[in-house]
Amino acid sequence: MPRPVKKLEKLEMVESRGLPPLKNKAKKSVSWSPQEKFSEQPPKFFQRQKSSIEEEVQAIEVQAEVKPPKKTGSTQPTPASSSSSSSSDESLSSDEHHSEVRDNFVADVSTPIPEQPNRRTSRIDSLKGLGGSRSLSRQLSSRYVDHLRDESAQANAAFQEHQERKNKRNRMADILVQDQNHADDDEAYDFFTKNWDDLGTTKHDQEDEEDGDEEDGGEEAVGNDDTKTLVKDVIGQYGYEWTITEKEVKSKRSKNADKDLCFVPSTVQAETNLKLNPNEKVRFLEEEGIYIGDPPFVPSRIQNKMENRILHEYLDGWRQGEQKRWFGQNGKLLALPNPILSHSTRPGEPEDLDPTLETVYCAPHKPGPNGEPAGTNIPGSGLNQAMPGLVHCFLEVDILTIVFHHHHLFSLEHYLASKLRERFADYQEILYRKAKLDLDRRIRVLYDAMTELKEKLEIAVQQKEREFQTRRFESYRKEVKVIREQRDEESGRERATIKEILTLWRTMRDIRRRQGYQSTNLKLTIHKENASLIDDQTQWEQELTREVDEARDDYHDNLEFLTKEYEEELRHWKQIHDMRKAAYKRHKKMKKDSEKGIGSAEVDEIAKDEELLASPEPEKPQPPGRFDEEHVRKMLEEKARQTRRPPGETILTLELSQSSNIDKDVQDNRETSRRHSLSKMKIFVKLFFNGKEVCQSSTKHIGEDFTVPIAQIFPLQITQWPETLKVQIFEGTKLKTSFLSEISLPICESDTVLDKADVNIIPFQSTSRVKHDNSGVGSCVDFSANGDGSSITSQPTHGKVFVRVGWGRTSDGTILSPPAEKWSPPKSRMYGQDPLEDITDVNGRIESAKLDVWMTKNEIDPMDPKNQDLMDRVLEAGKSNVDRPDSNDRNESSNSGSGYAPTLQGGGHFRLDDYHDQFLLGTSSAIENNPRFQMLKLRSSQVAEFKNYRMIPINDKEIPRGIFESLKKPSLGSKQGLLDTEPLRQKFKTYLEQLREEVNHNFAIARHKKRHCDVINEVPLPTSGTMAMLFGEMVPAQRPLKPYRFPRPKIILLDGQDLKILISVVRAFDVPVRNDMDPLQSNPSLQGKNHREESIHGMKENLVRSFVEVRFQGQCQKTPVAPGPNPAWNEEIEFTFKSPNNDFSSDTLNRIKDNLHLHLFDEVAVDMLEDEEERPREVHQRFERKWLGSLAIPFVTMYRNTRIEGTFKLHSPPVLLGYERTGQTSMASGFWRENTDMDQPPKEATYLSIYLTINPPLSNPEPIKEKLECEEDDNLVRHCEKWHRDLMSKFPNRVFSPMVADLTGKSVLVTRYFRAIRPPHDVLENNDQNPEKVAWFVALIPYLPRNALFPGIQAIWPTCEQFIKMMVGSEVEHAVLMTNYFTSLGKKAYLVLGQGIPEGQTAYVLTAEESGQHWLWNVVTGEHFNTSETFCPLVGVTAVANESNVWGNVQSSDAPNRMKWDLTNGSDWTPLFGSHLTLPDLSSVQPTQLSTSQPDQRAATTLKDKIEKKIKSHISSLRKRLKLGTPLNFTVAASLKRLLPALESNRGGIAEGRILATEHLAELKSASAAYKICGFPLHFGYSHMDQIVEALEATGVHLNREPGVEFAVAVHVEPFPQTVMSVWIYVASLVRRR
Amino acid sequence: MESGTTVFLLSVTGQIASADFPGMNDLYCKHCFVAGQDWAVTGGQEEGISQIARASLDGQRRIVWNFPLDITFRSTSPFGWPQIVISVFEMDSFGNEVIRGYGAVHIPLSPGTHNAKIPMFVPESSSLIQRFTGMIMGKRPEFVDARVVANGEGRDVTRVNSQGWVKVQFNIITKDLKRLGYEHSAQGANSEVKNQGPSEGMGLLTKTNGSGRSKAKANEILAGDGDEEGEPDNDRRVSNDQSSVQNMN
Repeated sequence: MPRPVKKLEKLEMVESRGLPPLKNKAKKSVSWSPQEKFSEQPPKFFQRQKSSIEEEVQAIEVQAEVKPPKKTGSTQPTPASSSSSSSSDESLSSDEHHSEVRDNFVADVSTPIPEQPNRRTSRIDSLKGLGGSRSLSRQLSSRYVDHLRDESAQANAAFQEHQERKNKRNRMADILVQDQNHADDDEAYDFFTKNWDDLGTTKHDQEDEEDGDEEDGGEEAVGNDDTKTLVKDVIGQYGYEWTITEKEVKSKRSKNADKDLCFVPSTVQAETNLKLNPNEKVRFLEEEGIYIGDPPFVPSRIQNKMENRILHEYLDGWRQGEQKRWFGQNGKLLALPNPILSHSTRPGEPEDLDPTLETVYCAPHKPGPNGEPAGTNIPGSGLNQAMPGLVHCFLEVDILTIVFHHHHLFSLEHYLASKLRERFADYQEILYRKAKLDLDRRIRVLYDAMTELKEKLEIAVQQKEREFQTRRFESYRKEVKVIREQRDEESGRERATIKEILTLWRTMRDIRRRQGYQSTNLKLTIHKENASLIDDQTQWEQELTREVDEARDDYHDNLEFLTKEYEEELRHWKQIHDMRKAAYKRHKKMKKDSEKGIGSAEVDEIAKDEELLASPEPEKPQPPGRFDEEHVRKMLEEKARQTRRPPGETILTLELSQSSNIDKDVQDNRETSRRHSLSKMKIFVKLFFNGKEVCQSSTKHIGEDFTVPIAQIFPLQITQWPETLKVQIFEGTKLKTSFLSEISLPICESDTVLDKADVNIIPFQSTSRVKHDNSGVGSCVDFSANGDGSSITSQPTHGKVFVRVGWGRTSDGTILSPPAEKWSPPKSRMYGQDPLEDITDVNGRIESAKLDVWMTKNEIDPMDPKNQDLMDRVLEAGKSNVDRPDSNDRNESSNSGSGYAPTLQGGGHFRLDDYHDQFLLGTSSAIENNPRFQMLKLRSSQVAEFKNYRMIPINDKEIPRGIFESLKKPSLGSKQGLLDTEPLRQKFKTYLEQLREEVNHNFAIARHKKRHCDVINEVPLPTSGTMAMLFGEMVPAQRPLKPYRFPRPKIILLDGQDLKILISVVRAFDVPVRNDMDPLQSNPSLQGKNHREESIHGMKENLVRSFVEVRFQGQCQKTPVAPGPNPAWNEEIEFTFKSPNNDFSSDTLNRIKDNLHLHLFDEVAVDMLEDEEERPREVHQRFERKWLGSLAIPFVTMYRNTRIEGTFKLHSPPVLLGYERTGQTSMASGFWRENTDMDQPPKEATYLSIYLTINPPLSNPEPIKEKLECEEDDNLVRHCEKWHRDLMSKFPNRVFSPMVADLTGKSVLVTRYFRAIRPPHDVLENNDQNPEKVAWFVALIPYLPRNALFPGIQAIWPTCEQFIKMMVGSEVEHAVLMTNYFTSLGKKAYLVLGQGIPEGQTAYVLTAEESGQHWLWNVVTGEHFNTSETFCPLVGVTAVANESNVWGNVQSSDAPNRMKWDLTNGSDWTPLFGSHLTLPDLSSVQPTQLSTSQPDQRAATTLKDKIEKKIKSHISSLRKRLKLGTPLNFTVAASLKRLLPALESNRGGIAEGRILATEHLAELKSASAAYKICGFPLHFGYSHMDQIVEALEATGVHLNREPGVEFAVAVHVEPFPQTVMSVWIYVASLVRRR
Repeated sequence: MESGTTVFLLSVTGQIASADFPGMNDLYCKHCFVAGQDWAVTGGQEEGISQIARASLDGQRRIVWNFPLDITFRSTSPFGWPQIVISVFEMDSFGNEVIRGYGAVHIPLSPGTHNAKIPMFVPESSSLIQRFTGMIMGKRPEFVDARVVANGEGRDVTRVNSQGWVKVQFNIITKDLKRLGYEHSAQGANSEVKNQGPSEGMGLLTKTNGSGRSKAKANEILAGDGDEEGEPDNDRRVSNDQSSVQNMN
């Protein structure tokens, strides 16, 4: 870049010496005025210290804070030593120097130290080149003194001029100008393309050149190199720090230099004359008729700018012709025509594609012969290859005739004629074969030979010869047999054919006679030849005798063998017979024994005997009979009569000729109409080459004899390998044509010419059904074959095509075929037929019989490995055909995908996917069997167990064993379930699974569809409220002391983090106290301690020392013991949550079925002290725990709510033997709020206060907010949304949308879910309309938390029908069902949605009782609460709904006991339908009636037995682990059992309260006299066996270590409709009192 | 958990070198790695947050973090190859943290040193008025989860605006990749990915060999040292290869 600058400015520099430094300075400090500079600067140039200048420049360049010593020098002028010319030169060079040095610097830094010698030589080079300028400067220098004075003026002017220019220019312009002026093309090219690393060296060259200049101008300084040190060196010498300060420069630049440096091109159109060469005129080529394309559109503003910029940059360097680079002759910027076409050259894709044009997958093409892919071009041929001398391939197809063997326009006569012709052809063939084989003669010769041989045999003496002759004789005999058989067959066939022909002819003759005309020209001539009876007779006899002889010989030969066989069989039979006899005896004895009841027998033996006796006795074999000559003779004669001409029968010879005439005028209307339509019927063919239609023949009439002479040769010039050649035959009248049939033509060898080609006779058949009114018989239509109504038959149109195929030939005789070495016709099409057609039946399935024929015909070698696949298929096909004999069904079954037999429909060709395998990763079986692939597949298909599986091992062996078992389990389990364990619910389970799948499918798309707010966090659209908040934020809250609760942020758990569950067990209320009704209470040894306690305190309630045990995922912790009926523990317990696979994704967490169990136990100290004497000194006790109640909280509930807090009712048995409640105590103790209505009996329950949370809190997946498909009225939907929004804005935590999603993923208005449904009949046995009974029934339906039911999807409401079919559901389903039942009972029932404990979001049922109270029904337990009750598990009410309306709770409190329940009050409840919108008439989604199955008493009994067995075995196995025995007491069990039905009828005491306990005690009185009984009944709505076992285990009954403890178990199962089972289990441990 | 599993290792070191956000100052960045299910981190930090950096005062206004990355993955399958997700925030004058860019790029597949230039983008406000309030309140729209930029789901609902660039340098070492049958051909020095112009949404990856680096360094010093005028020109004139190198650093 510096060089051009130099040359350009040289001219100015000659005159203005002061300029260059100014330029330098201008950069650094613009504040300097030109005058100042001028006064200051010139002296600097006189000084000869070039190095100092350099240094200065360099120093300036790097902006180092170095004050080089040259500063002093520069201020002092040193005039004498140099001339003005040299100074101007100097100035010039120093100007250059500036840039040069800078570059030098750049170079020096970027590349290592440049080599000095090089520099010098190059400098010398440049010196030589600059001789001219040197002489000029010499001249100037001589006049230095004279000009000294003018200089100031000149310099001033020059400076100003320069300044002006500088303002106009920016750097870029400079560069361009330089390029334009000096840089030759190569350099310019280099400039952009050369590796910039070379920059340094090129700079050196330039620098050297400059050096030359300046040396020339002043002196040839020898020490130049020494002084020309680099800045780095200088700075290094001085030891200065490299502090880079740019600030100063930058600020200067930004202030003023911008103006100088920036050029803003104007947007005004530039003058045209500027753009052209001065001597040129504007030409408009377009007007002159020269084509100029449309230039691309550029806004004129931009274009003007560009033009101005170019003009500006070229202003100085404007040269002749230069504008040509940029501007055209019309004064516009040169531009190529717009490359973008205004219209599309490709047809656009139509919006909805024609279904016939749809893309379908085709398997890769079968390769053509010799490995050439089918359909590919024949090399060297083809029209597209315009090569000289290319090979044209002409395939010529000559379609000669089409002969119909049946046509729908055949009259009956025609049909018969055609049959006759067929038969006659057979006959002729038989005759021909007969003549050819001449079996009669051969057999005669053989006979002769045999007789001869026999004679020889007789006279043969030598043993050897004898043997030889015998062998010969044997072989003859065999041959004779074969030939005779053949002959018999042939002659039999001949006779049959003759017979048939004669019958046909007779029928035909009859028909002709009957109809009175003749429409065919066939005529059968029968030649008779009388045979001599005697000759025949003798021959016949001879033959028979021979045969009999032979048969006799055969018999004798075989006799030995047969006897042997007989003996063998007899022996075998005898054996079996004996065995049977023995077995029978044993059996009889055993029967007697069993009747008497004595003896024993091995089970196996009995079974064996029975089996033996059951099998039928084998028949006794018969010995081989003697040879019965008469019989044999008769048989042979019979046979001969059938096949051979009987003696004396006339010999018939037939001759068929077309000699008779067809009657032209026929009276029969039907016949005339037939002939008429036949005359109109035309036939033409289409020729298809490689599946593409190429030619069509002209239409031809069908002649009277139903032959169509097409006689057309179709020459095809082909460019592709011929693969298929097909002919389609069409028939029809002028207006209507119909497709008849398609046939494949064989493609000939490459040396076959048409003239020499054989005529191929190819049969065709059409399956189309045609019926005529005329005398035509139609095709595929039943008709009577002999015209009198008998022998009904039908015929498809069929016939034969006579065709020749050959290659074309040029005039000089060369065959126009593909080269022989590359072409051979496809082998499999030998017969010109699609082989598939040969072997398939009408349905496109392989027929094994046809396949066999085809295989023998084509001589498929089954041992050829190439045919392996085919043979396998054939085997399979054969098998499957056997499997499915019903051929009509086959098609459907194969379409449904279950059929394995290869189907040929829909392109399912079994052999044509040759290359398919190559595109597969592996064989499908390999992928199937690879566990890793399988896992990957399962994971990607989102199977629950694998969905979040991390790090699937790369090696198969590392995959954990048995990982797939869980997957297979369902199917296995279902099988098992059907067999034994769960026959009850299998149906429902499968239904649930189906539903789940369906729901997942329905919601999968919705879930993946994200909305803006799911992805992007954004400030919501400001409303007045948020705006206020926005400004309110600026003023902080004025109540700093008001506590504010920050919600813990919910997080997504990452790997490696622990999830903890924190439980704080606070206290319990109303724990039952011990109440042992021991009649022998005074026994001090057992009850001493307790007794004493009681006597001391005098209070019963101290008789309980309870603790809480918490179990979770096998972990177990407990609180310390606290005494009394209202204990307080305040104990914190922590668990670590373990997730399967360490997977903490919400999906998995939602599936976790673990429950947190809290069990309340009483700790009983059992005195073990044996010796009463020791008592004062020793304590020997054993603690025992007695279960009092428990509470289960599902993990999913914790997960969803994060925090569960409250007082929970413990699930405790209605009766606890040995314990009683002291309800009044708790009432008195003040924990209970005053009950307003005292007519309600106090609750019999124990309550437990806990606080439960998980840490860290986990974020829950948001429910799908996606606007689901909705069938409701738009207006309604909008109204619902508005209602919902209004409610939510006021009470953000009361969220309920009146639109809920149903199982199909549509949103439905919630009121549609309500409709009075009659409860099952059996629930309301006595028409007592007891709602409690209904509630009990509903509560017995198994419960599953919401998110476990449909994991990952919330707020789906199945209908009652679906619910009852699933037989499991969450609160909402229960509640909806209960509401509907209640409504049908005539109650006012509502669905209440709100917050409950422990389940969180829940649903209750609200009923308005007659007494004016409102009851809330817990749908899962069946209990009901008064709205005014304290310990109602429903803690918050959001909305209430029934079939007519939805009410949102707008009261300040949402606790049921603090709310007003008058739904009509608008200030308390805001209805959805009211003033704005009345409820539209909506149909309910519920059915009017639920079909429920009858209660199944039998199932209940089996279930009862099963449960009993299971419990007993479980207890004993648990105790076995403790090394304890499990004796069962049946007496107590029986009495317990008696108690259970009462419990059921009382519905677990919900109805009657505490009366039960006394009842129980009364019942057990006798037992309790002998035993200390501790037991309780448990109740379940049956869902699963494990649930029962788990609950039982949790009670710890089995832990009784008392020696001699006995157990009593009683089970009662009450069946309800729809297999709902109420299970009662009474478990008691009995300790014998001493 | 599966200690006995055969895995291959991918070690990533490097740094989030600098960023180029015209007109913005006081930026910091967060990064995290997103990998598929078959990937696990054996060592190193999966997430990080950098210091707040001011733009340099030279013409380039470069924001330099030089925030180190060091992480090792182990994996059984290349499916879900890890990506680095970078989100850049600005501290505005009110002290609000405003999102200035999201970007992601796959960790290079082949061992060696790679430079990535990641184009950044931010989601746009869905309406003008929201844009206005967002500007006032200093709450520009953000992605709920920055990992969105590493996968394709849910992007169809967003509109984004391009911002600046973040330059990341990766040094990759793999172990056992070949042994487990995975090969990547991009091994030699020829594999250098040339600057193909800014492709929207994808980070640019270039691989540098040793000499290139030293040259680049030299250029960097040069660029940092001065020649304020030359810089824009240089960028244009220097051959493609080098400019990319220079930009990378």
